Amino acid sequence: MDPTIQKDVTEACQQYFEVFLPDLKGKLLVPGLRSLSCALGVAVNDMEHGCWTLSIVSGRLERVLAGVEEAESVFNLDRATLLEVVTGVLAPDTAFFDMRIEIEGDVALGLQLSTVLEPFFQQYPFHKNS
Amino acid sequence: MSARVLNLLWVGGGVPNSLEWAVDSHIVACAPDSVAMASALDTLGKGLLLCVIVLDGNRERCKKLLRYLHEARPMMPIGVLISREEHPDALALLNERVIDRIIPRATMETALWEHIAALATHAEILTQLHGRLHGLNGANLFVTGGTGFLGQHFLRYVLRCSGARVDVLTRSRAGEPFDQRLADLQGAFPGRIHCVEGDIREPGLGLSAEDAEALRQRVDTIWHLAAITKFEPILRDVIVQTNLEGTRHVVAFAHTVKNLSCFHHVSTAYVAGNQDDTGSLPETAIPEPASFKNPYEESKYHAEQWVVASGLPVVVYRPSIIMGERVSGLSDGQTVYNVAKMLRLARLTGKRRASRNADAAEPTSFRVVVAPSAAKNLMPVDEVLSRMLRISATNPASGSFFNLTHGQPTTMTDIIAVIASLLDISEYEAVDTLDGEDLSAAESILQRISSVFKPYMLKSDPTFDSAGASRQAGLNHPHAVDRAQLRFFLQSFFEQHFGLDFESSPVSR
Repeated sequence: MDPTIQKDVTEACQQYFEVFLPDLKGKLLVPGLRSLSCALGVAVNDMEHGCWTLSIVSGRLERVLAGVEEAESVFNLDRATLLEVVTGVLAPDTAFFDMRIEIEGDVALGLQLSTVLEPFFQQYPFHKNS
Repeated sequence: MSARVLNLLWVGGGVPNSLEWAVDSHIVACAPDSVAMASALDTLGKGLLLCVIVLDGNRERCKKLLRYLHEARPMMPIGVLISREEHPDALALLNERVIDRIIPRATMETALWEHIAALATHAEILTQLHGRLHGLNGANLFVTGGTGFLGQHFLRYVLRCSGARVDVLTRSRAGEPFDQRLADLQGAFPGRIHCVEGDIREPGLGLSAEDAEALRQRVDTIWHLAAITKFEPILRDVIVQTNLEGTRHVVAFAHTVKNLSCFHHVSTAYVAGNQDDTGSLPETAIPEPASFKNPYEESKYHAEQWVVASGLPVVVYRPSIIMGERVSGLSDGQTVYNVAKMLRLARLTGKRRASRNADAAEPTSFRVVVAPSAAKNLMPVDEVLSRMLRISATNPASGSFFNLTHGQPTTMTDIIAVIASLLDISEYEAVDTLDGEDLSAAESILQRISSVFKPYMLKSDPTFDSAGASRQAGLNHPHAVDRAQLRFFLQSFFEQHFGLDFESSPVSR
């Protein structure tokens, strides 16, 4: 990959977890889904320090932490897949079934989350600098 | 098939030799421009009308021709003969719903007839529907779930086969404003389909006061198709909110419509819940089953009860497992497709584990928890819609129920065998149960992701009484979904959603 694009892609991933998601704190991720409480980890395997955990309480995003130590289920994926998912282009469960996302930890929970969160990525699609 | 007289318009390129046998058919070839096509269409007879366009790489011209053909002959099924290598984006044409079938150029000599036969079957369904939907000319339909899988096909059939005007409740989503979500259909049927912004999960359907009032005055028929077809317990709130609360909101709105002639409610045959497999589902309201397999079944049961008790003029349709469309293969990727996705993932996981760990080779065979004789009730979406629309055209009595189901279910043996052959899973073993120990990587992942489908994979569906539906629709019981048809559905799904190429080496699958 062209180094400029590579840098751009890495920045976009960082921006997603460090700017875009924190802006959504306190919002109901999926309309009507108030029973969801879990810690979902995301490990971006082709970037340095690319691990974050989303703490979800009663369906709302409570905080975004660096690292995946506290996560019950971790989505392991590369930057390109991450950006396709968070921009709403690729359904997370399709990515999982195509092995573009590997789920570590609680796989059954991870698969359910990949189904649950699809409407979230549709409702809040990421655009760089948005 | 041989009794059919086909009229085939062949646009661009020479008519292949493999069609020469078609003695009962009338084939007219023409150049890919609207003047030549208009003249060619005039010379074709009154039998089933089909069209094959040989795509020459000019996508815009192709779309222009398709638009012209839709306007000139809205019911004529159109196939596009295409070389996938030259046109890797060909599937987009199918997904845009501007054509009915992709005909890979590689199959031109060997299987062209199969593609033509599928187009002919589709033409027959559309022609017969057209003959029965006269009552819809001038009707004003309000449709929920129109952007979903069943809904998009429903709209296409209604628009092609009747003169109805349709308002569709839609909501915006990622990068797609509400009024753009059916842009292809709006382009193909200008002025006949209109998107109204709203959401069934909101009281008053989230309609603006102006839209709500306009609909109350205009609409005479409501088709409630919106639903979530997910089974995961974690989604219970969302499923109930859409399937049950959403239905209550649609019913409440229906009560305010000035001249409502019918509320058509699309339920599911699986409101039967956990009956034992000797039980049967009558074409009537049923008492609440002792238990359900998941929140989906439960929410659909209670929604059905709510609709029937509403006092509105209602007709309830209960399809079983909705498969793809026989002509296009387009599907929702749920249910049986999920089983196929899980088996593919298990196989790929086993292969990846084997390649990472050469010392502990992954076994070539894996065990699948499934009851081989479990019978599943599969219905192609075109079969469901054909029955549903034919029944609706007979103005059935309010409170009628129709089970849109099969008399000849498909066994899990057939389903797993087709998936295995498609994905080159050469060895598998059906077992009743798998213990936690001694599982291979493939078995372990399968075990962990298949829990919501196990109740269906281990037990036959109840028998669904569908005599009333067949009688009302004026159709025989549907033919069984056989292995060849199942293979087409699943192959189309993997091509369309995972970009798999079944003409290449199996390694890529």
